[in-house]
Amino acid sequence: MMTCEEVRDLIPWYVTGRIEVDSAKRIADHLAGCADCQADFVEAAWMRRLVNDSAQSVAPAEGVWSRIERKAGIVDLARIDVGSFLIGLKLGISASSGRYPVHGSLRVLGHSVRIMGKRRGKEAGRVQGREKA
Amino acid sequence: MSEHDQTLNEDLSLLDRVAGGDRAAFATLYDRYASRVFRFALSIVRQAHLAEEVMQETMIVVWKKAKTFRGNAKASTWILGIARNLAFNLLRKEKRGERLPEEKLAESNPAKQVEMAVHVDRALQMLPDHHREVMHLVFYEEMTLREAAAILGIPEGTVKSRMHHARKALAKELAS
Repeated sequence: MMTCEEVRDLIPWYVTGRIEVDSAKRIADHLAGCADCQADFVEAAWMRRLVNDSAQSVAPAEGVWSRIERKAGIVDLARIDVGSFLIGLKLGISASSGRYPVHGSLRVLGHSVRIMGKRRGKEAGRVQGREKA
Repeated sequence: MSEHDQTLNEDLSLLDRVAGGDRAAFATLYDRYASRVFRFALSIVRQAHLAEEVMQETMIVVWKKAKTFRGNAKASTWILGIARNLAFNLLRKEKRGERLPEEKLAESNPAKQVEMAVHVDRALQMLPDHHREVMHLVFYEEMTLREAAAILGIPEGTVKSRMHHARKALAKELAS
């Protein structure tokens, strides 16, 4: 049987569920008969919500991605984008370590499929979601 | 395969492609991690413009150093570890200069108008950096004890006691 101190040390992970099944079972057994640790559990769950709500309420400002592109040196020297959001073609020429690789993608029903540019291994290079470049 | 495992595999695949210079993979990785890195950095540096700087520099390091990622840790642990180092470096630089100005978060949010939310935010801001940081990793990032210990570079027992003290400190701030 776990002691109150052992339970209280692990309560945060019991609240998030990121704990071994065996430990979770032993904590549940303890909680069933310990009012103090039940109160501690409720407080930890409440704090978790406060921390999450606080974190969720902020987000990075728009435009950071553009700065990253510039600072990482992955801005296109030239770019062409034709078509619509549903169907289109995008081609770009970038500068990287003295080379000028061409990259491109085909946009079909909002998804981009890489058709040119560097790939590795078995990666098909299919891009999920929207493309930033 | 669980959703969690699938996310881990996708992250590893993305990092592998980023290591090969795949810009689209980098953009996808940015989409996945920008907010997480920003929020974690904010838990350390407390000011939105500094957190943005940390997030920006972190992503640039990821782009340049993805080849050095060995895959013996989760991608998220590696990325947040980079952010942590950069955040504390930035914090040290700031503290060597003038006193930190009042915290100002970049994005306004209707929730911020609620008195309780403001009170909670103030209470969290009053916590020492290491308390806010461990609470963020455990409650928001939902890291296991082992993962939190790895990223913080301290024993698991210390994570437990730090978390305990952080909770006590937050309860005290909320009650004041």
